[in-house]
Amino acid sequence: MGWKLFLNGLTNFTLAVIDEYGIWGIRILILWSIISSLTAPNPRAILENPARNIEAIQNHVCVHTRLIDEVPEWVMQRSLQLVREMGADTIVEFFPWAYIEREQGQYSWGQTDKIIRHAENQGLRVIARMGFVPYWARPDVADDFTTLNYLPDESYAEFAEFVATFAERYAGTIDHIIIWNEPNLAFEWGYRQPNPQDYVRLLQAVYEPVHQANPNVTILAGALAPTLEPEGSPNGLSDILYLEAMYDAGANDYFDALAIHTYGFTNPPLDEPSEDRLNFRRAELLLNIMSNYDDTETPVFITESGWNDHPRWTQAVRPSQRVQYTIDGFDYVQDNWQQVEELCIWAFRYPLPTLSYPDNFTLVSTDFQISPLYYAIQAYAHGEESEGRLWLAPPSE
Amino acid sequence: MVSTSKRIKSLHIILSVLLLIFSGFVYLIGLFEWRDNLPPSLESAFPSGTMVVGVDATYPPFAVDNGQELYGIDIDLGNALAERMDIPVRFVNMGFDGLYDAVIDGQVDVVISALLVNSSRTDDVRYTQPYFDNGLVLVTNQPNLQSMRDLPNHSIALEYGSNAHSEANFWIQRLDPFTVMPYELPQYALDAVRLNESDSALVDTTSYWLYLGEHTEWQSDAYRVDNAFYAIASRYDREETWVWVNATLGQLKRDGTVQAIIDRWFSSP
Repeated sequence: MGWKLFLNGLTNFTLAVIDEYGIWGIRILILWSIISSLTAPNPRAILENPARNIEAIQNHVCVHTRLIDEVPEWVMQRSLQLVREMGADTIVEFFPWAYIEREQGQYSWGQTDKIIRHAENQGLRVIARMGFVPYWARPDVADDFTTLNYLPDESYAEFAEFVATFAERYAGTIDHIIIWNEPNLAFEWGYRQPNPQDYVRLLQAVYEPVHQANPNVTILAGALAPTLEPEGSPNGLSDILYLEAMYDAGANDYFDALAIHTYGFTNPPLDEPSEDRLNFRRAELLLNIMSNYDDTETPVFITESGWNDHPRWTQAVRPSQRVQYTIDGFDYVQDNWQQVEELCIWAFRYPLPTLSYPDNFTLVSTDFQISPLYYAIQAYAHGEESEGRLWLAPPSE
Repeated sequence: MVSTSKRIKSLHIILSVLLLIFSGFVYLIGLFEWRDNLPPSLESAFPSGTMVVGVDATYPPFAVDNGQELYGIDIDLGNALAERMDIPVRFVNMGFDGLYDAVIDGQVDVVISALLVNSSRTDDVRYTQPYFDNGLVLVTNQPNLQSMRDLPNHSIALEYGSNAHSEANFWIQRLDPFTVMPYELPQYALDAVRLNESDSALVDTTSYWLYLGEHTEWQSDAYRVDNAFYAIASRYDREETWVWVNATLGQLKRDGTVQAIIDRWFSSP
């Protein structure tokens, strides 16, 4: 009986297709069926049961992942498994507004849900970085070309509404949200002159609605790029000057934690900080500003950090130095910066290789080749004492 | 009989005419093809009358700036190309980060700067045939060691944290045990082989050849493990430039000029 019904249905469907599209409709349908049957389905990514826990000893190891552009779910899962196995307890991940609310009021949470589900399954805390403005929240492109980083004043309320919706949806899972990325760079501020007062107004617009949506949320501000750009530069503004201006504009009422970016470039982690120098301990200058404004209790998260070992880039070090400096950097944070909760390495893995120097910031290549630095961080996070030097002494003649 | 013979004759004539028409057709196609493939003029390839070359002169021995002049393999190659095309050349020294932007924006005609062929850039630039392969090589003086698969029960020296280290980690999970000897620098890894402290070393081609230049008496064999091709890039929509540079580079490779340049800067085996 069932078969008869199925065959009747199939016959009726075939006749309807012929009627509507002719015999070519049927041919295309058959061709599509054959091609579909030849295509391998995406591997499934079944959640691990029971969910995993972090077994590391060090609790301030964190990485910045890049999962939002991944298509196969198993790639997200494998990345996050590797993060957990390395011993990181926290990830920073970018959740672009323009991806999630492409049309005003219409949310597409599929990709975000997948990331959160797998991160939670691996026992990882997620710090969400927000940014990227959808076309409908930017000025008319025909009149004035704008980039995805251009957030006009009149769209602050829409951005705040989006962040609040996000915070409410993931309350209890994501309780740390970074508002914008590197607003002290013209590129990140929509190719406009960076303006700390504008950024503080953005924080102000976001702070209340997001706290109402998730009372346990921690709003992270800053995430300033380390740069020496002077006042009035079209490219950006020094992170030191920018943070001072933020405090002067009353920012400390509108954030719960400060996000810091600090890179070592060609210098070892112990290199002395100075306002005219970009190095790892430049973060201390930002901590000093917090102290100057009696803000010593606010937690700090280093949400981007690391060294690069590209053979060509002038801001890079040797691979062996990169490993040693990174481990020494973790030790330095642990021993000296009590205010800092996490040190997040940029970046864990890219969805596509750049085939240029940015690839040499990563711990795992796009094709999942694991770098020696990954293993060194893994040993550090699990409290394995390194037996002196990481490499052998030079052979002697 | 007669009529049959006439018929055959007519058939021959018809077939001959058809063959003639077909030949003419093929000839015309060939003619059009040939016309379309006429090499572009040098003026259209280099509108300024000079070949402007972008180079990042911080990468010895490919390009170095000593404050007075630029020198190295890429500089010699640019000069050789210009000489063969009979056109003046001007080098613009710039940061590695800006090389692609410079050629895409038209600030330079080509980039000759130990540039790795990058598949994600092929919408914007065209690459010539490669002129150097800086892939990893397995260096040894053990006759039974010719590939990574032969490593079990042997030792391999390498630069700690480098691509070579990642490659060794890849193989160590797939083969019977072998000993990895990490050093701070690739030169030390090669020292280890030369001084018989390690059976082999895994280093990039440039490091190996530079090392040979400093240790000319040392005998060793090198087996290629992977490829990292360097090529010249020109803007995608400037096909004429690519045609000239690629063809001229081909000539320079065939007549040994490119190898002579490389040999000048390395003591290549």
